[in-house]
Amino acid sequence: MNGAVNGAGQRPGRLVAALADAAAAAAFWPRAAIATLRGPPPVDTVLLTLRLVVTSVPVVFAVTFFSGAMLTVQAAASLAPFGGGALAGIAVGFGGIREVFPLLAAASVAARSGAEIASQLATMRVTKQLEALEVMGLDPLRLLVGPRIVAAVVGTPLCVLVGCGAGMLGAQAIGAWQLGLDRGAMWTNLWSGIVAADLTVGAVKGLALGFLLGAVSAREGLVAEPGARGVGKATNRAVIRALVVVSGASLALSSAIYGRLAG
Amino acid sequence: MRALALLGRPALAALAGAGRVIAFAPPAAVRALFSAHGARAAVSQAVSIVLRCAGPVALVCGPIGAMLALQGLTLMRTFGVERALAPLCVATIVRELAPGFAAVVVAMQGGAGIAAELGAMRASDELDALEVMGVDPRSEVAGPRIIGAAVAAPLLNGLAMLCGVAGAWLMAVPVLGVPNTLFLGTALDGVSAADVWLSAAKTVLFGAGLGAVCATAGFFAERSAAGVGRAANRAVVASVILVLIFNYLCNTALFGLRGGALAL
Repeated sequence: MNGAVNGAGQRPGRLVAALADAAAAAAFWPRAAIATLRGPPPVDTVLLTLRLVVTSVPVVFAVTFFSGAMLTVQAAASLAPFGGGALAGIAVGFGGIREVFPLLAAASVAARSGAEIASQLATMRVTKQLEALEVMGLDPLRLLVGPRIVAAVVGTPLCVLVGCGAGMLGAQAIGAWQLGLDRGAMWTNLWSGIVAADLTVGAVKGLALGFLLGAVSAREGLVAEPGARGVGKATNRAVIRALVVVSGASLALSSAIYGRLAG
Repeated sequence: MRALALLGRPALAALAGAGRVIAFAPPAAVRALFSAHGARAAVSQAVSIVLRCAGPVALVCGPIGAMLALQGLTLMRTFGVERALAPLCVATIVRELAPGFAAVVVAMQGGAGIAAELGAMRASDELDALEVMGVDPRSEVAGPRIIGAAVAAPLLNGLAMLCGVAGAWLMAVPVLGVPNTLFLGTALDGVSAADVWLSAAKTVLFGAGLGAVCATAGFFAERSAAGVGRAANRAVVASVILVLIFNYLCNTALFGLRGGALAL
């Protein structure tokens, strides 16, 4: 509303407003963490976790499988002058497991389940169900946000591991069937740059990214504007903000963990 | 049998969804081009998508470029080929990461916005009101958004390339201590102008595809607040998957089934 009234002359005002909103969004993270630690309702938590895993895993699988495939085709072509196939396997396995597959897995969870969290909470907001809970003396943060955060924190690492596996399968399938590389050698090359610790790092990153995407999506749902338009806007904001936060956090974690090794 | 039905139902639903997109989107986009206000609306949609996505594109692609430089250098220092870092980073960003992630951002910000807007117009009966007034909402409302996404995506792809390379430079030169002259001197060794044009062409395709998926999801949303949220959610998921499948198919088409070098 404000944007339309103020127009282009008020750019700095809008920038300040955007920064203030970002700060308010970040201030929600500790509140979400506290609400989660205060003991979410167990049945809802288990059901929501199962729902998140069941609905997100197919999306994660499709996204990472095809990104593994696409990276392999690309890497085989660009590394052809240096000896092609073997190097492509090593590069895809290394870059994929360490960065690309975990990030895309978290982005897929944000798109599938983060958006769902936002749209559910936003629907509850615009149909006054959250106010109804508060009137009854119940805390919507503990009852509704807590279980969803737990679901995201438990489900995302699982999705990251599924994504790593699916990406490797995509790379292997393309390497063996389409590029005609030796099957055994391709699989060995894919894993040759990876140690078990890389998968642990991926899962730990998944924990952190899961919390962030859950908290970001829940917050956007809770502050939805009225009406169907508000629900749509909240869903949209949740997805894009979760993606921005997840990719930033993924870099921060990577440089904290791997930065020292590279330098 | 029940297990088979469990698998078959989502497959049928996906096919029905794809059929709906194919039946709805191309005529809407084509009619928008020839309608009274469609073309102008498409331009303003493109501008609005570029403005709304520019910030997120920069915030997503900068870190991704930096990550690429960090992990690339780890791998290359073990092989002792540090000077291959800049060309490899730039080539990977221009060919793959910029178009891929720019399209994902456009799907999540612009595409979800299209679905949410059209869904809200459906839920508040605005689309029906237009039809009653003799205005075709397909060519006047949905079509311009599809074309707008197709126009905005390559522009944002250009921004994504710049931000990705800037992120890679920031990580490689000031943080990890790669010599600046080495990085800048070799940066363009891995790419040609053809790579940039092909990358742009890919994103036009991605933008049109995700615009079509999102406009269709919003146009046929259920008439309720919850329905609008679901439409935006579905639109995002379907368009992200679509972008990655398109990307794989494009690469296979460009590099040939056997993955030979680029024939240009």
